[in-house]
Amino acid sequence: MSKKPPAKTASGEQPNNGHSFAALHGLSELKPVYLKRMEELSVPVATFGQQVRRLSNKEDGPAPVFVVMTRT
Amino acid sequence: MKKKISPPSKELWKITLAEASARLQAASLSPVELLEAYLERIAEVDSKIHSYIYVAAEPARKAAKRAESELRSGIWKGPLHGIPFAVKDNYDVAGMPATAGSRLRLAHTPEVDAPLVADLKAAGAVLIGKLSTWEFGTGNGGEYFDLPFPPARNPWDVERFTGGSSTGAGAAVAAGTTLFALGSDTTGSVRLPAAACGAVGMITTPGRLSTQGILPNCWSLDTPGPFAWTVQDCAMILDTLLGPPAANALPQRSFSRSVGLPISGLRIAVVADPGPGFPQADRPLQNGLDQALEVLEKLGARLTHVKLPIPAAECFAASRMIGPAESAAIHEDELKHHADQMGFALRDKLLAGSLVRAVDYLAAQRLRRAIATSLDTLLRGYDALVTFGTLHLPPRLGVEPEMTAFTVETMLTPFNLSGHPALVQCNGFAKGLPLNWQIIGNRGDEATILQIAGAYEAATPWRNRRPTL
Repeated sequence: MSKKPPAKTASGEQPNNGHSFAALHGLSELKPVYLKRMEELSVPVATFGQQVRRLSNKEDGPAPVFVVMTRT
Repeated sequence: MKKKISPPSKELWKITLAEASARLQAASLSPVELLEAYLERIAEVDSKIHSYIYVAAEPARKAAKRAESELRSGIWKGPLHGIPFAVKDNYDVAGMPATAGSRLRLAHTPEVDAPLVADLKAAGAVLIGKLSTWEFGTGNGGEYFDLPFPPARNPWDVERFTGGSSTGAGAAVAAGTTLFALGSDTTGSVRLPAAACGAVGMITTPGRLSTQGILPNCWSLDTPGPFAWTVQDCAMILDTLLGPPAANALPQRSFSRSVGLPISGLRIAVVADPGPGFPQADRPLQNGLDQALEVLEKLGARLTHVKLPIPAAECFAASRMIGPAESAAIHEDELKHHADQMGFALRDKLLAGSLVRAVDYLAAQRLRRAIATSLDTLLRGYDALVTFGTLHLPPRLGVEPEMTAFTVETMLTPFNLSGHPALVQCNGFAKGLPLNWQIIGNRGDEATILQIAGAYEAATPWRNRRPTL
């Protein structure tokens, strides 16, 4: 029996749903109540992300905050 | 020079570390007597402020007796020998619970001391116990009364917030339930409680103090830091933790000897405006800064008003990506499998952190590099920079939007991002609550910060006032 593909929106994207949203963020195990909260938070988090000023010079790399070291 | 009067024995909790150390060395005070005064103080007031999660009275008594025996035998391990202290409950201490304020870690008992704890024990200091913290040493700015331990309360007004995330450390030092404390700071978690509780709180140049054995919150920003009642006390703790100058890779003066040096001629940059996107400081804090600057001028410092090269609001925007994303990475397993057991603040932060796009995280780290470079360039033209710590007075515990505004709208975060050492100290009182300001130094130059803070402290009366509980 073939599976019916999910409906698509006018833009051609699949509509969001709890499971795909969780899978996208690697958190499929979360309870629905927390997935719902994540969806609520996704709007402000995306907004906050866009509020970080972008540097115009592409050679301005990120701060070298992680140092690759071996454990001794 | 003000004459220092030692408190009567029933008020030993008011003694400074420097006085206690001198009296222990002179044998006019014993480590056991000093510890018992603190245990008594805890029994008397801690049910009102909840500064402790765990009091290890018997192990502390054993350590105090050992210190007493050593001092009687002429063995002196240094200025902290016999001095009681406590650590935030995200520090590992062998054989003691390390809950980090969480249901998820109620059964967690480390077998090894965090290096900073081990260093203090080796110096003869006496560990009293573990101090309250927001869950996992982090949060979202609010208080939801949903953790396994009651929230710490501000000893100046128990209806008010202590500042977080080292919620117990500032309260304990101000209330005299410990002589000094260690906390941890990602975007203000040492300096915010110090500000709210009227204590001295300091972060050093990243890398100076080991983060090993402290539950990580944000790998790229976490810094441990001491709390004390006076600047001299803070300097003595750092002298012990950082060892002799020759043993350290960064240039270092004796911190204790820096306190008391004149500040005449020092060039100090002043940031009195948080910049666009942030509120101005509340009037009492503005007045506190203005009056403190007058003190510095009278002491001969040369002040120059400057602007932050990248405004505090932009710094906050960067930290709002970095902190939650790294926390979510650190605690991914706990979020996946034990979200129910978390308090709302931690869970919400981890859920939000899981949503941060890599592109935005990297944009924040790119901006961080610009923040670090521009602040470093600014600071190199001066001996230090002074500005606000918080922009608001300590809020009512659990009351929004006061809580979040107090936690978020600060001048603390820029210096975590830039990697500069910084100290918060009390610079007055308003409405019975402590005011505060912040002194920032060049990288590796904690000594000048302590020199300025020490000169200010000696010229002002604020250390004579303690909370009434």
